[in-house]
Amino acid sequence: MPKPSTAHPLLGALAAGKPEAFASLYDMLALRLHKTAGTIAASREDAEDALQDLFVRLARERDKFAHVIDLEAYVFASLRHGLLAQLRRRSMERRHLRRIAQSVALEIAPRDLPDDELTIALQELPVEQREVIALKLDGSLTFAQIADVLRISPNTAASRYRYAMEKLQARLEK
Amino acid sequence: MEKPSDNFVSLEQRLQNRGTASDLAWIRPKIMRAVQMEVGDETTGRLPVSPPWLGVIVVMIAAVLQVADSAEVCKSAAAPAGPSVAVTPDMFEQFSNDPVERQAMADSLALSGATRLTPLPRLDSRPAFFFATQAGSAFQDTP
Repeated sequence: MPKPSTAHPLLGALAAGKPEAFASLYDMLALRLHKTAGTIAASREDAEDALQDLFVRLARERDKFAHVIDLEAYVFASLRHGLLAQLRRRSMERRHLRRIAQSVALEIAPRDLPDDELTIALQELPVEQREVIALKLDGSLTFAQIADVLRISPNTAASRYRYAMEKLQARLEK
Repeated sequence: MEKPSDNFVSLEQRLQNRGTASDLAWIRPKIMRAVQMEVGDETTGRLPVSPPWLGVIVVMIAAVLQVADSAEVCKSAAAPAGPSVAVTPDMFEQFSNDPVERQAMADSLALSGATRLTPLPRLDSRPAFFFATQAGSAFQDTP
Protein backbone atom coordinates (compact mmCIF):
# COMPACT_ATOMS: atom_id res chain seq x y z
CA MET A 1 0.00 0.00 0.00
CA PRO A 2 1.59 3.29 -1.03
CA LYS A 3 2.08 5.85 1.72
CA PRO A 4 0.63 9.35 1.44
CA SER A 5 4.13 10.69 0.83
CA THR A 6 4.22 8.75 -2.46
CA ALA A 7 0.82 10.03 -3.55
CA HIS A 8 0.39 10.67 -7.24
CA PRO A 9 1.50 14.15 -8.32
CA LEU A 10 -1.80 14.73 -10.14
CA LEU A 11 -3.88 14.42 -7.00
CA GLY A 12 -3.49 18.03 -5.86
CA ALA A 13 -4.40 19.46 -9.25
CA LEU A 14 -7.36 17.09 -9.58
CA ALA A 15 -8.64 18.13 -6.15
CA ALA A 16 -8.26 21.75 -7.23
CA GLY A 17 -10.38 21.03 -10.31
CA LYS A 18 -7.72 21.86 -12.88
CA PRO A 19 -9.01 20.72 -16.30
CA GLU A 20 -5.50 19.90 -17.55
CA ALA A 21 -5.11 17.45 -14.65
CA PHE A 22 -8.25 15.65 -15.77
CA ALA A 23 -6.89 15.61 -19.32
CA SER A 24 -3.68 14.01 -18.05
CA LEU A 25 -5.67 11.50 -16.05
CA TYR A 26 -7.65 10.66 -19.17
CA ASP A 27 -4.51 10.20 -21.26
CA MET A 28 -2.98 8.05 -18.57
CA LEU A 29 -5.90 5.71 -17.88
CA ALA A 30 -8.63 6.00 -20.52
CA LEU A 31 -7.60 3.03 -22.60
CA ARG A 32 -7.27 0.71 -19.60
CA LEU A 33 -10.52 1.98 -18.12
CA HIS A 34 -12.34 1.53 -21.40
CA LYS A 35 -11.06 -2.01 -21.88
CA THR A 36 -11.97 -2.91 -18.31
CA ALA A 37 -15.46 -1.47 -18.64
CA GLY A 38 -15.91 -3.23 -21.98
CA THR A 39 -15.09 -6.60 -20.45
CA ILE A 40 -17.35 -6.11 -17.45
CA ALA A 41 -20.26 -4.66 -19.43
CA ALA A 42 -19.70 -6.74 -22.58
CA SER A 43 -20.50 -3.69 -24.69
CA ARG A 44 -18.32 -1.08 -26.30
CA GLU A 45 -21.07 1.53 -26.11
CA ASP A 46 -21.70 0.88 -22.44
CA ALA A 47 -17.96 1.20 -21.88
CA GLU A 48 -17.96 4.61 -23.56
CA ASP A 49 -20.93 5.72 -21.48
CA ALA A 50 -19.20 4.49 -18.35
CA LEU A 51 -16.03 6.37 -19.22
CA GLN A 52 -17.88 9.64 -19.71
CA ASP A 53 -19.94 9.17 -16.56
CA LEU A 54 -16.77 8.36 -14.64
CA PHE A 55 -14.98 11.57 -15.59
CA VAL A 56 -18.01 13.74 -14.93
CA ARG A 57 -18.40 12.09 -11.53
CA LEU A 58 -14.70 12.46 -10.72
CA ALA A 59 -14.88 16.15 -11.60
CA ARG A 60 -18.07 16.64 -9.61
CA GLU A 61 -16.64 14.90 -6.55
CA ARG A 62 -13.13 16.31 -6.98
CA ASP A 63 -12.84 17.16 -3.27
CA LYS A 64 -12.39 13.45 -2.62
CA PHE A 65 -9.05 13.46 -4.43
CA ALA A 66 -7.59 15.21 -1.39
CA HIS A 67 -8.00 11.99 0.58
CA VAL A 68 -6.95 9.52 -2.09
CA ILE A 69 -3.82 7.45 -1.56
CA ASP A 70 -3.77 5.22 -4.63
CA LEU A 71 -5.07 7.22 -7.61
CA GLU A 72 -5.46 4.23 -9.94
CA ALA A 73 -7.33 2.14 -7.38
CA TYR A 74 -9.62 5.07 -6.62
CA VAL A 75 -10.43 5.73 -10.28
CA PHE A 76 -11.04 2.06 -11.05
CA ALA A 77 -13.23 1.73 -7.95
CA SER A 78 -15.26 4.69 -9.14
CA LEU A 79 -15.53 3.18 -12.61
CA ARG A 80 -16.78 -0.09 -11.16
CA HIS A 81 -19.30 1.66 -8.94
CA GLY A 82 -20.75 3.58 -11.88
CA LEU A 83 -20.64 0.60 -14.19
CA LEU A 84 -22.57 -1.68 -11.84
CA ALA A 85 -25.24 1.01 -11.46
CA GLN A 86 -25.32 1.38 -15.23
CA LEU A 87 -25.73 -2.38 -15.71
CA ARG A 88 -28.64 -2.42 -13.28
CA ARG A 89 -30.21 0.52 -15.11
CA ARG A 90 -29.65 -1.15 -18.47
CA SER A 91 -31.32 -4.32 -17.25
CA MET A 92 -34.31 -2.29 -16.06
CA GLU A 93 -34.50 -0.47 -19.39
CA ARG A 94 -34.61 -3.71 -21.31
CA ARG A 95 -37.32 -5.00 -19.03
CA HIS A 96 -39.45 -1.92 -19.79
CA LEU A 97 -38.60 -2.22 -23.45
CA ARG A 98 -39.79 -5.83 -23.47
CA ARG A 99 -43.08 -4.73 -21.92
CA ILE A 100 -43.64 -2.12 -24.63
CA ALA A 101 -42.50 -4.49 -27.35
CA GLN A 102 -44.95 -7.15 -26.17
CA SER A 103 -47.84 -4.70 -26.04
CA VAL A 104 -47.44 -3.81 -29.72
CA ALA A 105 -45.95 -7.09 -30.94
CA LEU A 106 -42.48 -5.73 -31.63
CA GLU A 107 -39.22 -7.57 -31.41
CA ILE A 108 -36.21 -6.09 -29.63
CA ALA A 109 -32.95 -5.91 -31.52
CA PRO A 110 -30.34 -8.20 -29.97
CA ARG A 111 -27.30 -6.62 -28.34
CA ASP A 112 -24.37 -6.33 -30.63
CA LEU A 113 -21.85 -8.58 -28.91
CA PRO A 114 -18.76 -10.23 -30.35
CA ASP A 115 -19.44 -13.93 -30.69
CA ASP A 116 -15.95 -15.36 -30.43
CA GLU A 117 -15.49 -18.27 -28.08
CA LEU A 118 -13.43 -16.33 -25.56
CA THR A 119 -15.94 -13.48 -25.24
CA ILE A 120 -18.79 -15.92 -24.79
CA ALA A 121 -16.83 -17.81 -22.14
CA LEU A 122 -16.06 -14.55 -20.33
CA GLN A 123 -19.70 -13.54 -20.35
CA GLU A 124 -20.65 -16.84 -18.77
CA LEU A 125 -18.56 -16.04 -15.71
CA PRO A 126 -20.30 -14.47 -12.72
CA VAL A 127 -19.72 -10.71 -12.70
CA GLU A 128 -17.54 -10.86 -9.56
CA GLN A 129 -15.13 -13.17 -11.35
CA ARG A 130 -15.28 -11.33 -14.63
CA GLU A 131 -14.46 -8.03 -12.96
CA VAL A 132 -11.32 -9.47 -11.34
CA ILE A 133 -10.13 -10.64 -14.74
CA ALA A 134 -10.98 -7.24 -16.27
CA LEU A 135 -9.21 -5.30 -13.51
CA LYS A 136 -6.14 -7.54 -13.71
CA LEU A 137 -5.70 -7.98 -17.45
CA ASP A 138 -7.42 -4.95 -18.98
CA GLY A 139 -6.79 -2.55 -16.12
CA SER A 140 -3.29 -3.86 -15.36
CA LEU A 141 -3.91 -3.47 -11.63
CA THR A 142 -1.99 -5.39 -8.99
CA PHE A 143 -3.88 -7.74 -6.70
CA ALA A 144 -3.37 -5.23 -3.90
CA GLN A 145 -5.10 -2.56 -6.02
CA ILE A 146 -7.85 -4.98 -7.06
CA ALA A 147 -8.37 -5.73 -3.38
CA ASP A 148 -8.76 -1.98 -2.76
CA VAL A 149 -11.22 -1.60 -5.62
CA LEU A 150 -13.36 -4.56 -4.58
CA ARG A 151 -12.86 -4.12 -0.82
CA ILE A 152 -11.65 -7.65 -0.39
CA SER A 153 -8.29 -9.01 0.74
CA PRO A 154 -5.45 -9.37 -1.78
CA ASN A 155 -5.49 -13.13 -1.20
CA THR A 156 -9.20 -13.27 -2.00
CA ALA A 157 -8.60 -11.23 -5.15
CA ALA A 158 -5.83 -13.59 -6.24
CA SER A 159 -7.83 -16.72 -5.53
CA ARG A 160 -10.92 -15.29 -7.25
CA TYR A 161 -8.74 -14.58 -10.28
CA ARG A 162 -7.25 -18.07 -10.25
CA TYR A 163 -10.68 -19.65 -9.93
CA ALA A 164 -12.04 -17.57 -12.81
CA MET A 165 -9.09 -18.45 -15.02
CA GLU A 166 -9.50 -22.14 -14.23
CA LYS A 167 -13.16 -21.93 -15.18
CA LEU A 168 -12.34 -20.13 -18.40
CA GLN A 169 -9.65 -22.64 -19.27
CA ALA A 170 -11.96 -25.57 -18.61
CA ARG A 171 -14.71 -23.95 -20.66
CA LEU A 172 -12.39 -23.34 -23.60
CA GLU A 173 -11.01 -26.89 -23.53
CA LYS A 174 -14.48 -28.41 -23.89
CA MET B 1 1.11 -13.27 -5.17
CA GLU B 2 1.13 -11.33 -8.42
CA LYS B 3 1.30 -14.59 -10.36
CA PRO B 4 -1.10 -17.14 -8.87
CA SER B 5 -0.17 -19.60 -11.56
CA ASP B 6 2.06 -19.72 -14.58
CA ASN B 7 -0.39 -22.12 -16.21
CA PHE B 8 -2.48 -19.17 -17.32
CA VAL B 9 0.17 -17.37 -19.35
CA SER B 10 -1.21 -18.26 -22.76
CA LEU B 11 -4.82 -17.67 -21.69
CA GLU B 12 -3.82 -14.30 -20.21
CA GLN B 13 -2.23 -13.37 -23.50
CA ARG B 14 -5.34 -14.38 -25.40
CA LEU B 15 -7.49 -12.31 -23.09
CA GLN B 16 -5.22 -9.28 -23.34
CA ASN B 17 -5.09 -9.48 -27.12
CA ARG B 18 -8.84 -9.80 -27.38
CA GLY B 19 -10.58 -7.35 -29.66
CA THR B 20 -9.06 -4.46 -31.50
CA ALA B 21 -7.42 -1.43 -30.00
CA SER B 22 -10.08 1.10 -29.17
CA ASP B 23 -9.87 4.49 -30.73
CA LEU B 24 -10.85 6.80 -27.92
CA ALA B 25 -9.70 9.97 -29.63
CA TRP B 26 -13.20 10.91 -30.75
CA ILE B 27 -14.63 10.73 -27.25
CA ARG B 28 -11.85 12.65 -25.51
CA PRO B 29 -12.97 16.20 -26.43
CA LYS B 30 -16.53 15.42 -25.38
CA ILE B 31 -15.44 14.10 -22.02
CA MET B 32 -13.06 16.98 -21.46
CA ARG B 33 -15.81 19.45 -22.31
CA ALA B 34 -18.10 17.79 -19.79
CA VAL B 35 -15.33 17.90 -17.17
CA GLN B 36 -14.65 21.55 -17.91
CA MET B 37 -18.31 22.39 -17.43
CA GLU B 38 -18.35 20.43 -14.20
CA VAL B 39 -15.30 22.06 -12.66
CA GLY B 40 -16.54 25.43 -13.86
CA ASP B 41 -19.76 24.83 -11.89
CA GLU B 42 -21.82 24.94 -15.02
CA THR B 43 -24.12 22.24 -16.27
CA THR B 44 -22.68 18.77 -16.77
CA GLY B 45 -23.07 18.77 -20.50
CA ARG B 46 -25.79 16.22 -20.04
CA LEU B 47 -28.74 16.79 -22.29
CA PRO B 48 -31.69 18.14 -20.38
CA VAL B 49 -34.48 15.70 -19.69
CA SER B 50 -37.23 16.57 -22.10
CA PRO B 51 -40.92 16.29 -21.32
CA PRO B 52 -42.43 12.81 -21.85
CA TRP B 53 -44.55 13.82 -24.80
CA LEU B 54 -41.45 14.85 -26.71
CA GLY B 55 -40.30 11.23 -26.89
CA VAL B 56 -43.58 10.19 -28.46
CA ILE B 57 -43.42 13.01 -31.00
CA VAL B 58 -39.86 12.11 -31.89
CA VAL B 59 -40.87 8.50 -32.40
CA MET B 60 -43.55 9.64 -34.82
CA ILE B 61 -41.14 11.92 -36.68
CA ALA B 62 -38.69 9.04 -36.83
CA ALA B 63 -41.36 6.85 -38.32
CA VAL B 64 -42.16 9.44 -40.99
CA LEU B 65 -38.48 9.82 -41.79
CA GLN B 66 -38.17 6.07 -41.92
CA VAL B 67 -40.99 5.71 -44.40
CA ALA B 68 -39.45 8.39 -46.59
CA ASP B 69 -36.09 6.73 -46.35
CA SER B 70 -37.12 3.11 -46.55
CA ALA B 71 -36.69 2.78 -50.30
CA GLU B 72 -33.01 3.51 -49.83
CA VAL B 73 -32.31 1.19 -46.98
CA CYS B 74 -34.47 -1.85 -47.49
CA LYS B 75 -31.99 -3.65 -49.70
CA SER B 76 -30.53 -5.80 -46.93
CA ALA B 77 -31.52 -9.43 -47.34
CA ALA B 78 -31.54 -9.82 -43.57
CA ALA B 79 -33.86 -6.87 -43.03
CA PRO B 80 -36.89 -7.48 -40.84
CA ALA B 81 -40.31 -7.04 -42.34
CA GLY B 82 -40.96 -3.58 -40.89
CA PRO B 83 -38.99 -0.57 -39.75
CA SER B 84 -36.89 -0.50 -36.65
CA VAL B 85 -37.26 2.33 -34.18
CA ALA B 86 -34.31 3.29 -32.05
CA VAL B 87 -35.03 4.29 -28.48
CA THR B 88 -32.80 6.59 -26.47
CA PRO B 89 -32.22 5.75 -22.82
CA ASP B 90 -33.60 9.16 -21.80
CA MET B 91 -36.93 8.01 -23.13
CA PHE B 92 -36.97 5.15 -20.67
CA GLU B 93 -36.69 7.58 -17.81
CA GLN B 94 -39.65 9.47 -19.17
CA PHE B 95 -42.09 6.66 -19.71
CA SER B 96 -40.84 3.65 -17.81
CA ASN B 97 -42.68 4.47 -14.61
CA ASP B 98 -45.75 6.02 -16.14
CA PRO B 99 -48.35 3.65 -17.64
CA VAL B 100 -50.07 6.51 -19.51
CA GLU B 101 -46.85 7.60 -21.18
CA ARG B 102 -46.00 3.97 -21.89
CA GLN B 103 -49.33 3.45 -23.59
CA ALA B 104 -48.83 6.63 -25.63
CA MET B 105 -45.45 5.35 -26.70
CA ALA B 106 -46.90 1.97 -27.64
CA ASP B 107 -49.70 3.63 -29.61
CA SER B 108 -47.33 5.83 -31.57
CA LEU B 109 -45.12 2.85 -32.32
CA ALA B 110 -48.11 0.89 -33.54
CA LEU B 111 -49.05 3.81 -35.81
CA SER B 112 -45.52 3.94 -37.17
CA GLY B 113 -45.73 0.33 -38.34
CA ALA B 114 -42.46 -0.45 -36.59
CA THR B 115 -41.62 -4.06 -35.93
CA ARG B 116 -38.41 -3.66 -34.05
CA LEU B 117 -37.04 -1.56 -31.19
CA THR B 118 -33.37 -0.84 -30.84
CA PRO B 119 -32.07 0.59 -27.57
CA LEU B 120 -29.34 3.17 -28.07
CA PRO B 121 -26.35 3.83 -25.86
CA ARG B 122 -26.42 6.77 -23.52
CA LEU B 123 -23.46 8.94 -24.27
CA ASP B 124 -24.48 12.28 -22.89
CA SER B 125 -23.07 14.54 -25.55
CA ARG B 126 -24.33 12.47 -28.43
CA PRO B 127 -27.31 13.98 -30.19
CA ALA B 128 -30.57 13.02 -28.53
CA PHE B 129 -32.46 12.42 -31.71
CA PHE B 130 -32.87 9.00 -33.19
CA PHE B 131 -34.06 7.66 -36.42
CA ALA B 132 -34.97 4.38 -37.96
CA THR B 133 -33.96 2.32 -40.91
CA GLN B 134 -35.41 -0.76 -42.45
CA ALA B 135 -32.38 -2.93 -41.84
CA GLY B 136 -31.77 -1.82 -38.28
CA SER B 137 -31.23 1.41 -36.49
CA ALA B 138 -28.45 3.66 -37.62
CA PHE B 139 -26.94 6.13 -35.24
CA GLN B 140 -24.39 8.62 -36.42
CA ASP B 141 -21.90 10.21 -34.07
CA THR B 142 -21.28 13.83 -34.65
CA PRO B 143 -17.68 14.41 -35.83
